[in-house]
Amino acid sequence: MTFTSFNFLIFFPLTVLACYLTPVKKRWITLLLASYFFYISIQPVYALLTAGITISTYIFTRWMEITISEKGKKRLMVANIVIILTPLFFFKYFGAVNNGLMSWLAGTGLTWPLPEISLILPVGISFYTFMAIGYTVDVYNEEVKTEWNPGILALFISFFPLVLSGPIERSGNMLPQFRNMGRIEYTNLTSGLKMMVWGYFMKLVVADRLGLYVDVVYNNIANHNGTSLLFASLLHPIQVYGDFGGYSLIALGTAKILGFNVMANFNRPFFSVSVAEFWRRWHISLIKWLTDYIYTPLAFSMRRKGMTGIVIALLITFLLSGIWHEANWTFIIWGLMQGIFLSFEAITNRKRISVESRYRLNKKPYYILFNIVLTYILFTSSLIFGRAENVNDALLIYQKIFTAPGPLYIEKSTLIYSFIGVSILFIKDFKDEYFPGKLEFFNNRNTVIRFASYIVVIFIILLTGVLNGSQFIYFQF
Amino acid sequence: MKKFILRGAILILLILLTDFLIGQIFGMMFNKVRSGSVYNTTYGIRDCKDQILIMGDSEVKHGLVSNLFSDSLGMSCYNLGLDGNNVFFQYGMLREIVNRYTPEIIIISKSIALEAESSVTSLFPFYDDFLYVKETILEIAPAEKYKLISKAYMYNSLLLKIVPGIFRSDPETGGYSPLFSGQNRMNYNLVPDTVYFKGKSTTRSRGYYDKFIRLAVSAGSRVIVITAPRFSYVKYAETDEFNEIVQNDDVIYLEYENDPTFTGHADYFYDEFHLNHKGAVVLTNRIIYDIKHKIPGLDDFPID
Amino acid sequence: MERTEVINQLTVLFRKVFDNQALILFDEMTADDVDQWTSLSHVILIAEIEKEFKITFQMRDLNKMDNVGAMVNLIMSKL
Repeated sequence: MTFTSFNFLIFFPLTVLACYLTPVKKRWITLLLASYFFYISIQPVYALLTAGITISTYIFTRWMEITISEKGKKRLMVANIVIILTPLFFFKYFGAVNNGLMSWLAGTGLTWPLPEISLILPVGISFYTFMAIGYTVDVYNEEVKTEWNPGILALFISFFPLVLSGPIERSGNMLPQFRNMGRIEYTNLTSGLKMMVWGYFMKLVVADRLGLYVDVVYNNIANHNGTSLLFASLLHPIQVYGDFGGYSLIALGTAKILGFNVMANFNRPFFSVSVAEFWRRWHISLIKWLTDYIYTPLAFSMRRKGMTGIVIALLITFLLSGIWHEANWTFIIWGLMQGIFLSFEAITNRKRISVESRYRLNKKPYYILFNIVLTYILFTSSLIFGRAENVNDALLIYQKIFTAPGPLYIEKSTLIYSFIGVSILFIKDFKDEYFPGKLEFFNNRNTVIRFASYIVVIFIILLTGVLNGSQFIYFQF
Repeated sequence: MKKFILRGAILILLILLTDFLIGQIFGMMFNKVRSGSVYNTTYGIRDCKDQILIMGDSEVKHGLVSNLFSDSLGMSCYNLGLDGNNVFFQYGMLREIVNRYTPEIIIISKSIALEAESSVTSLFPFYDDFLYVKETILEIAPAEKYKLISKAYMYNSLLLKIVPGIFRSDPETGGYSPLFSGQNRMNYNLVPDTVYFKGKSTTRSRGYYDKFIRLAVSAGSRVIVITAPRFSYVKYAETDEFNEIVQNDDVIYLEYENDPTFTGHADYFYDEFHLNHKGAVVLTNRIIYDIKHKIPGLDDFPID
Repeated sequence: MERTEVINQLTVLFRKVFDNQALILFDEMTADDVDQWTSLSHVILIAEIEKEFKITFQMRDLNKMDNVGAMVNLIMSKL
């Protein structure tokens, strides 16, 4: 089951009820059982993997606690990280590396001993692996206390709102909340439900509907002209925002109803005026993780090298981000593009700031708009690689965009529904960005307006959402 | 806390009321639809009494000209093809049809069983009023019983099909929907000399295809299975199981895929997957010619 | 070195790194309070502090710098 499957709509209320009926001190047991039930209902065997990573992490962190020498602690940390990363590498990258070596060797006439491999990825492995690694490093750095209750640690790693697709949370935020659960509050219930409803809107009404157009064009690149490919490419970031942003919001709402505060994963990213700002608003939990555990240590170790050190750290960090998404050259290029954009911004930062302050550009609407559009275009251009099956397809799309214009492919009803959904989403985000607190709907003080907005959104979802089951993009990560 | 529960109850009540009202409004609009796919489906499930029925997906909807069949064979003909639909939907519709009367000839496309998701959403609006449709839906997707309690859910994604259908009347092409090249609704570039691998059937889709044929045959109809042409060459990633179902003694099997009259002829095609009107006329005349030779009693009519 | 002296030198450094001559430091100040203070510029800031005060930070120290006040304490402990 996933958040958008019917079974979830039965599982979740039952879980909430079960938690409500369980005494606070024992509630972690209910949640742990629910989380494993959730995971097992998707891929039973791989629940063992989650359990295995939990056990390993528990043992090594407890061991670190009683180890005195700095070197010893470090070795234990590294050992656990290697153990945690091994299944990730095996399931996600081994096949790609194996098949890549096989085809490279085939070109030289030699044979590769292993057969072609394609493995089914354990769901959520990229997410909960990172959470476990983060905890291990935090224990080493003495940022968090070692968790003595293996059940609570297991809950942290398998927590069902987060396990499939994040946000990638931190032990420092979650463990204290798991240790000190409060009553099920009705204020949490309402704010959590509001988040879930809006999340479903973003995913089912905006993302999945846009997907119907984008997929048709991208799955038939040879048959479509450059104009249609360009249009589909421009729509694609909005689709991902609705999909992943919506799903994250549902995760947040689910956790909130259960009484937990989880970090936001998206913050109206398309209003960013620079790529740097974009990456503070898009997939926030991943970037925070990469910044804290990869970028900062790297940049710190190279701090004497000035801007060169920063650029290298940026490129490596975002290269890893690309690889994290998928074992495919397309994502490596995607990641490198982010690194390059960010490096360019970092290098030119001083110059830009002085020009901006001299002409007071930062307050001028047209300058802001220009930067917003530029940032969007840069991200769109990188996402062409993210969406294409392989590098050749991506290059073909680029080539067609510039050399093969033509009449736009129009699928009337899909585009009309999409336009309605995207407009509503955009207007809400625009209002929240520039006029926060004004003209609220879900949070209006007037009950009639609030109820009316809930009803309108719910029925927009029921009447125009794509309800017959489409897969969430980030699902098999 | 009490206030919260009270408010919650009121909200739930309002939601149920709104759902009921939406059901009423959509139901009314549904009955006023005079054209489009919603009209065709309603006509097929509720009203049709035509002697020749064409069933299948967009390949036949845009490829078989009903009026040519009726003119050449002297029998009424209606094209019940529906874009993007599958064998499960067709089966549900057929059950209602044979409950009402026996069509003389049923032409069904083969491809509706390939890569078919078991989705019967097009049947939802008929769930309440048509027993066999209801049975079919529940056979295939039992969980829908709970979801279809919501009327808004029942009419999901139909708003933009219903509203235009109310204002436009049926162009009287007997359900056939001609495509004219250059209309640019879909802009596919025809890429010559490619080979398409058609998808595979599933155990379920084969099962229902078999049920469809048996139902039609036992009701007394002549079943004709056709494969419509595509611009490119077609190969099947298919096992013999499926071919056994569609190529048995109970049916007439007519294959136009990879037929040299059509394959590679850009002027007959609207896009890779669909014939344009010119191509549809050619295909229809071919089919008429072929079935006249194969069905006794039809060759009393002059061959065009 | 006295605390106030450290703060004065740090203020000059902050103003240079973040290109803002109006910056005034206070103990509870964090990255949220300064426009240009990001994880990118944080490393630059750290390097400048090390140069200025002739000290060396460990990676572990970075995690202890919750705000400017903690930063000042850390610098003082290394002098």
